[in-house]
Amino acid sequence: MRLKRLDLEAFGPFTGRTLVFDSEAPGLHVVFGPNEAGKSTSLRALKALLYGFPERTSDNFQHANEQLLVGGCLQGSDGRELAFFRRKKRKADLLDPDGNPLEPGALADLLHGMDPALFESLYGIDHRTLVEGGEDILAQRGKAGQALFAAGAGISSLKRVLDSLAAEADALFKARGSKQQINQAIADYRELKKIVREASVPSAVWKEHNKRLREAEDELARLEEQSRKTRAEAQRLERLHRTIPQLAELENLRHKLQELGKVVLLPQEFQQHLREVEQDIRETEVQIAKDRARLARLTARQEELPLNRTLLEHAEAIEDLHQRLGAYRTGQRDRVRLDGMRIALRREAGARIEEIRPDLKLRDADSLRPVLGRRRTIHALVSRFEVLAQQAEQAGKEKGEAQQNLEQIGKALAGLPPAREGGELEKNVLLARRAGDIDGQIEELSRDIAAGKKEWRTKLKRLGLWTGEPEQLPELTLPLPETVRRYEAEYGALETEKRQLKRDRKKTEADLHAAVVESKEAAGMGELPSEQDLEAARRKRLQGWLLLRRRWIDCEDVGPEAMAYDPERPVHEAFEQHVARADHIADRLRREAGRITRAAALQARIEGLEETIRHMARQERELATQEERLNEAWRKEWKSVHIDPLSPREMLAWLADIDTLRFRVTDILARESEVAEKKAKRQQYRRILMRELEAVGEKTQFPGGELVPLLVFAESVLEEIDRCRVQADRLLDRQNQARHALERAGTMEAETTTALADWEKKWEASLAGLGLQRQVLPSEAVDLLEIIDDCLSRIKQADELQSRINGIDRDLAGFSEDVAVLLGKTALPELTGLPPDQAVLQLSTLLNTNRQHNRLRQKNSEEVEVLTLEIEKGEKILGSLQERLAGLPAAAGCDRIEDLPEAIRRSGEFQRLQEKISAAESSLAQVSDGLSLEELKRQAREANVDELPGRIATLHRLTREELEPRITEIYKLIGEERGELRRTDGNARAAEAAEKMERIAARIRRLADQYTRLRLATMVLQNEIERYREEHQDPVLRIASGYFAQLTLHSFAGLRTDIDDTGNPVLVGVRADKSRLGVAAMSAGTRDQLYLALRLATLEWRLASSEPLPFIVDDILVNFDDARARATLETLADLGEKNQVILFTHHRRIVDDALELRAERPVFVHEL
Amino acid sequence: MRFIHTADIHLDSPLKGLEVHEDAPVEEIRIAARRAFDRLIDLAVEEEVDFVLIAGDLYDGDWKDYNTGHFFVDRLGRLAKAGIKVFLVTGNHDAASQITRTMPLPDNTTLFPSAGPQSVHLDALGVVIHGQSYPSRAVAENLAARYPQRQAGSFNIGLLHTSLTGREGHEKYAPCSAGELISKGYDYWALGHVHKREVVAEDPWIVFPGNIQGRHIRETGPKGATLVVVEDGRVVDVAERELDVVRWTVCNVDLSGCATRDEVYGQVRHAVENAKHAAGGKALALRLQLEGPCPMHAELHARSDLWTEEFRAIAIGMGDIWLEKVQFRTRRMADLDDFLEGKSPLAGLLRSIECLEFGDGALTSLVPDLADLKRKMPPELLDDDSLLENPSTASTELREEIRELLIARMLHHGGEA
Repeated sequence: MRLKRLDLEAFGPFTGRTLVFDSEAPGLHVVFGPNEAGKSTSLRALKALLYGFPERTSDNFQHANEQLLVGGCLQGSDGRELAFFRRKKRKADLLDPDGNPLEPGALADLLHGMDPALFESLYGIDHRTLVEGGEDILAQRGKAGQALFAAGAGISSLKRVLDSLAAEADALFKARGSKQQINQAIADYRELKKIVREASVPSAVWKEHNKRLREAEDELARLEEQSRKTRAEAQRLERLHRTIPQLAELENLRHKLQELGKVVLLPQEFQQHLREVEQDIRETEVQIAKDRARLARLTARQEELPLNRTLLEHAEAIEDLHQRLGAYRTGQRDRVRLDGMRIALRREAGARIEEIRPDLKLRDADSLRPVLGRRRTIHALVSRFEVLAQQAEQAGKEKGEAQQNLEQIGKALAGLPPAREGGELEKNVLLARRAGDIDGQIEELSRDIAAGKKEWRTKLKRLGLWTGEPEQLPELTLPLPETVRRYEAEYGALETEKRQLKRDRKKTEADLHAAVVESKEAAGMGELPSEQDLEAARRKRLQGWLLLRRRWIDCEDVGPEAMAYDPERPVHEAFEQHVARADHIADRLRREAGRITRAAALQARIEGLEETIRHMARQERELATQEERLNEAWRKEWKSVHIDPLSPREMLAWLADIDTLRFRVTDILARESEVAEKKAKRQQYRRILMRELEAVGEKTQFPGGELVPLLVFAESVLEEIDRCRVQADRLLDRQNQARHALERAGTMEAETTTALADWEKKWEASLAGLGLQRQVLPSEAVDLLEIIDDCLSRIKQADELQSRINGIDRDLAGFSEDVAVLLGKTALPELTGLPPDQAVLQLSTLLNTNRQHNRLRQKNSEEVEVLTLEIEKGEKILGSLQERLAGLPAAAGCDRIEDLPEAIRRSGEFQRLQEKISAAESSLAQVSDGLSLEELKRQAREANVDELPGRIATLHRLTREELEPRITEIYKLIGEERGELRRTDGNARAAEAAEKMERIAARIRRLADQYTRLRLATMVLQNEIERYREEHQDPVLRIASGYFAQLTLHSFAGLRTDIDDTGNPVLVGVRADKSRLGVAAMSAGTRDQLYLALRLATLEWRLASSEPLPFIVDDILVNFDDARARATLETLADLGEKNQVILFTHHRRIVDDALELRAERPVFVHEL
Repeated sequence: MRFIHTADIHLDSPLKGLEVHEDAPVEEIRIAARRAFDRLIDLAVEEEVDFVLIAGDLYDGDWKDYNTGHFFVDRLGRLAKAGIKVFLVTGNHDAASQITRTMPLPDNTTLFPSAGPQSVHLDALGVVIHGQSYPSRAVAENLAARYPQRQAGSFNIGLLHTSLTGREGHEKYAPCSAGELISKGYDYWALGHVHKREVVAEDPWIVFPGNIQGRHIRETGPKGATLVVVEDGRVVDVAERELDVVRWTVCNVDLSGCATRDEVYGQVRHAVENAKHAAGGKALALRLQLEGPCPMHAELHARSDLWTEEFRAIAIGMGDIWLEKVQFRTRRMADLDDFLEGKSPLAGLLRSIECLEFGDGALTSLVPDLADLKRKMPPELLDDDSLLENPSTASTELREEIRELLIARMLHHGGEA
């Protein structure tokens, strides 16, 4: 497969960019782009084309993902081509050139099952791969197998692959390691297994422990019984030892009680009771004495308070008068003030009357009141008078204005010009307007025609061959295009034949030249013997032989002939020489038969070629004659139009252009007739308009043929006529209006005069009762009415005040009378002469004093009553207390109160003894552990007091030293056995450990599988490296050797394998002097070239069996010096003869080198 | 009358194949067999059954911890308190177990003898149970042949540990045919030994209840016991009751066409969700099988360990899921056939891998280093599942894995990491 074309339709910075790799040989294609020009982008585009876009791409900065598109054309080795596009999509990303989806596998045949990574690995090389490849060869110490395999697979670092496999395997497991994952896991597993074993309880063990526990429990029960009995005996003896002294004490107390004899048992509170009664008697006597003293003091104080009962009886009447006192005093003040106000009012009313009628008295003022009653009528008449006066004034004013207007209008009407009719003129102006801008149209058309003609002439001039006026062109009889085409075909055929002949002749001449050169070369290798030479030599030999025979056998003298045969040597020597010579020629003929045949063939070929060349020369001459004839006929075709024709192809173009010009002429002529038509129409309009203008009396001259000035003038005349008519109409309207106004003003004046006369009569009637001598004006009448009203209202106010003063005088007299009556009742002589208000105040004071005395006396009486009752109650209590004291001795069994203390003491003694006895008994009960007193006494009697302590100590010792240690021991044993058994409580410790163990086991299995895979993979890879070397070493190395020499500019003669110290085959470079150089001794650059040589060799080697695929080289020449870079380019160009090589670079130097190589090799340069 | 039929309890038998890792739901699946057995006891008490039949294999044969027996007897004690009787025959594992031999059983429990079949009458219920225990680990004899014919007037139950005519993955013990069992005329055959639940016949009922808790990835699906209801001497209901604590599931994930990591995660998440849902939220021991041709194939293989971690994180995220294993069985989008014919070293390498043969002992002869590993490994781990011991069963997979491993390394797919 090879790439024919790469279309960067929309990719990275590119839009619609195409790279064409369409050369005859596959070729070396150098794609040059300086930095940033998109060299790497186009490389990515190529990958995208072949294998689709990656999921994430950086080439979508200009075109969005969905718009990304690359295209291309691939050609298979069978010549079949596939043009297609690829877009960035998951599915259906392949499209044919028409945009229809292609099947996803459409490229599969062309790519020969390569997936992208494989393709990149086998058919791609970049600088990094190259350097790593070189380094890897060094790292592998030149091992032939590894180097061949890596280069063959396009892997840069096989060592890294092998190392990583080994490292991962080593991290998993080492036979003698402990830190490795598997080793670690196995150790963990063993540890857990131990835990499971320890946590597991086998059945037999459990049964044994169970039996031992049962036995120990039985023994414990026995020992505990014995211990209990011993402790009980010891306790009993200790109890006896404690109770014997207490029994003796009890006997003693009982004896003392009997000695005390008969005793009256007094309650404990008896003595307290006696003391309380005596105390109460004393306190009661003191209280009675205190109450009596206070009673005497109260009785004395009552006598000291005096009282007037009559006054208290009239208390209500006194209080009532006291309240009325305020009103009395106010009345006195008000009367004086009111009288003053009344007098003032009357004086003011008198003054008002005098203003109007000085003759009228105040008391007769009421006679004016009727006029005041007509007040509203008078107001209405005043308003009416004002309206009427205004109307009269208005009517006069309007009448004047109307008369003035009429006069002005009459003058204006007289000054107007006479009216005119413009109807016909207007109609014709409209018609002319509707015809459009005729002037403009004529002008524009004329311009077009002139320009058209000018352009036409220019074009015609440019076209050449023919000259003339536009009108002549349509009539011109030109040959038909078909005729011209026929000539073109004939010329074409003739030309093809000529070219073919020329090419053939050139080729034949080249062949001839080559044959002659070869023949010369053959000749240069020495003269070839011919059959004729052999024939001649044999004849000479035979001649010699005949001479010899004649001399020896026939014994003739052959001297002269021998002399002729060979003048210098004797016959036999000459014969020998000729025999040798004939044999030599025969030998050479036999030996160099090939060369001879070839020479002969060459000679034949040269002759044949010469004959061919001659034949060709004849043909050429014939063709020249034919061409001449054709020329003649061609020119004849054009004779009629006086044209000297160019070649038919040119004339075809000329004809096409002339046709266009012909079309243009028709167009121009059509326009000219249109102009003429329009001009006639314009002249007609002008005539009509002039006529109509004259009809309305306008006589003006319009030079020239244009319509517009005439139209404009006619329109201005029409406007003037219109304006005059409108003005006249307006003046007539105004005259009418003024006449109406004058009429209206006259009528109004008459009406107003009648109304004023009527008003005068009413005014006099309404003011009749006022009694005034003079005529009253409407403006005065209002003031007059106000004065009368004011005067009458003041008189009325003064009358009202007089009646209030009379009321007050009545109230004052009533109060004085009431006071006098009360004083009479109370009989208090000292108050009789006082004014009523003073007397009331005195009475009130006296009443208050008497009321206070009365309240004090009542309170004292209540206290006297309470004290009397208290004294009675105290005497009664004292009596009962003395009775209780007298009853106490009898209750204590004695006769007198004095004997009571002794009785109380004996009773106390008896009680104390009894308490002690009961305490002793209870103490005994406590220590006797429930035994009865009798039983205790019995045991005390039986016991020997002196032996008790010894027996007790013996029992304690038995418990402490024998029984208790034994029991402790058994408890421990039981605990141990229980502990053992408790381990077997159904717990899951062992089971859980086993679970953990399974988890580790799973890990071990997984890691072991992984380890197995890694080791297997390593093994397979190593075997394969060796197998590949064995199978391919010889052919690949042979090819690589040549490449290596070429790439290193023959600094090395080639490559060989050698055996290193460990017996492995390794690669070495061979110098021209056969010395060998290991890879370690090579420079880094040389190792890069070594790797490249191997890559190219495998590529070439593969070509023998696989389909070719483009070899993509990405800037590998960066670190090569100029000479080696050129050598590399040459090598790649050589490879390009068989396999397409696409080299991406951003170095101009590489491009220059490539351009130099172009002469001899299929090298192509594409710039981005 | 109601009774529970169970078998193959394998108390304290650990779950196999779950590798320890952080965040694993360790607590959720701890001592799963015991907890499943506890559920069985709960079920018996709740359902108020009259008795429980155990058709053999209480313990793993090589398990020695007497604690396990103690636990078993303790739980039988719970049944005794609830007035539920227990009838059990031993199976091949019990015959090998020390625990079965020495453990004293409580009064409510009847262990059938191994010398010959015995019939136990439950007069109150009108039931007669025929059964026989295993005298030795491997019983080649047809035990059923000596079971008596039905006893008229009673509900006859046969209790037997057998593989019948043979079941895949189970050793052939006490062989007999279903026809033979039917011919005894019993009403219900309570069988044990086969770990997968199976109703062999319905007239009469011949039932393998399966084990109560799956123990490894070959024991997938719900596990439990069978609850049988009998009315008027006829079986009216045979119901399966789930008891397992952990559900084993193989989850096939079709990654066909997946081109990005996210798509792969999406498919896996979806599949795991479905599995979780199907198990009704129970704790899962899950195996993922990735299948189908996809562009991510090479990437998956190149970093299978990292992917496994990612999938594990997804599983953990959904709670109580223990990822047992991820099997990468995806395929390349395009096959390499065309390429394989070429002269490239890679083509040669791939051809060599295709030609790898893994016979018995082939691995150690191919790679002598593996012998060291084999010597170090605990011998019990070198069983049939082990690649080292038995590579031929997984040879296709192994070849695929090696091929992808090498391709990835060489073409820098996975880098050197």
